[in-house]
Amino acid sequence: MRGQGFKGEKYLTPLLTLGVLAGIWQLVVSSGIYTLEELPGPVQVAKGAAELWARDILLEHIGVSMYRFGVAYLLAVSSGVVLGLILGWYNRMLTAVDPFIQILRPISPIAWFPLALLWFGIGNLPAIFIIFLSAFFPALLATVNAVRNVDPVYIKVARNFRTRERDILLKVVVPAAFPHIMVGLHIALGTAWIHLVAGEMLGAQSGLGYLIVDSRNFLRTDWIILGMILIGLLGLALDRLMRLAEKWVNKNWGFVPKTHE
Amino acid sequence: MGKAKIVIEGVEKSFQNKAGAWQEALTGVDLEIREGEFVCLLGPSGCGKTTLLNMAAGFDHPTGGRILIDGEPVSGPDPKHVTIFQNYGLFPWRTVLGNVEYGLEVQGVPRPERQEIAREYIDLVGLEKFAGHHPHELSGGMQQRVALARALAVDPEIIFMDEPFGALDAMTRYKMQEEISRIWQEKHKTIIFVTHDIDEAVYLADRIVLMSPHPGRVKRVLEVPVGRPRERTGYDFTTIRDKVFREFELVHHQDLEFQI
Repeated sequence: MRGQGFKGEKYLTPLLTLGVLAGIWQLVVSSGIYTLEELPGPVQVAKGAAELWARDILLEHIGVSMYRFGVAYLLAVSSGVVLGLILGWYNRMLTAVDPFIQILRPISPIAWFPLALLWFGIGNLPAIFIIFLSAFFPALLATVNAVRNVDPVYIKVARNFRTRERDILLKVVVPAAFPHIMVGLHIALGTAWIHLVAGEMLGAQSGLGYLIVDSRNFLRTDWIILGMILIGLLGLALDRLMRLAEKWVNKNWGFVPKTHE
Repeated sequence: MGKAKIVIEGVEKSFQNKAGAWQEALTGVDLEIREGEFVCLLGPSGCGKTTLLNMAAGFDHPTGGRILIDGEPVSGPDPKHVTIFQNYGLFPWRTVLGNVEYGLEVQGVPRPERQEIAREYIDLVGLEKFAGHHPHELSGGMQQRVALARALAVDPEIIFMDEPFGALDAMTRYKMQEEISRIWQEKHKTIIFVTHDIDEAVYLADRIVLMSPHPGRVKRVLEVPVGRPRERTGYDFTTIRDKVFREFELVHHQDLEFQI
């Protein structure tokens, strides 16, 4: 491979890029095209972060966001996977509900805003609902596809040994489909996280999304940028965690060669 | 030889193609397979040998005629008649041991007992060192041994094999043929073995069912009266081989004329 260098370069190179980007950012700020209110620099954002930290608000926002995200994502994924298994396995049911799913799926979760507010009022629920919607469909559809694409030879083998219908699903279809389901859960994680801000922009009185909307009202652009950066970083962390989980599944499912001594 | 194990009477199979027209895949197949017999279905592609195997194994149904096993019509797959597929059909998420014990597991055999039985068959196919490995860590020949052990573990009466060594290299193939021949003699199973390899059929079979395509049918049934273990270079072997080869060529020749 071209461009291989010393150990740790993998981590240093992106850091360097980050430094350059911060430098450009600072240059634009220093050029005076925008006022500091319109575009605060890295220093202002860091100061703003320190201010929020000192007031014990920052961790609270992060905690609340993670809580809502966690609840909504787990609900979406568990119901999406279970329903996906059923629909993927029983063709008739899929035929019955597929058009309905295909109509609901392209509706942006954001379009549900007004109804979510009417139904769930103010608080955690509207945000959880929006995040749930954004994760539910990717999880559902990935599971349906994963089940439908299970190699028929596995089912033949299972039937040959007279496996009961329930066990075919649990002992054969689920494990055979699982690595592909994981891919869907990974995608669902990304879309759900993107909709976190949107979900918290309505009705919520806390959380990273709220921090951004609320800071707009006070023209605290440093906090807006801080909120954006935090969402990006946490999203990255979640994605990495998911990748680790995927790797673990693939290894233990025997789909990726293990190294043997 | 023993009593009739599988009786195939006037079996026909037609498929509807995409245009909606019916196509005959098999026509008028009559065949009787005795208990403990090793029978090879030999023929070029399109002769319906796999279709016939699938119907006998219960994965598919004839559109005409009937197939009886032990005097009963075949109604579906049965653990007493296990099929070994060309692409093995091993569960990649299970270890070798987990794969081999599967059949006993779904029958509700308690874990210690079924693992003991599974290990016995893993030993039989010479994979005792690999019980904890996953299928993808094994070579093609080893994977096929696992499939064989999994089939044997439920102590079936019949084993259907669908070109099981088709994906293996020549040397591994020979080794597996010797292996299956040894195990067949040891375990006294009835084996129906689909292949398009003449040498393989002559090495393994008590009787070779020669099939021809368009539509698929049984052309001839040939006895292989050669003692075991068979010598691939022995006089008896090469004589029978030549005979089968000539018959096989004839099948091809007629097929060619049919197409012209």
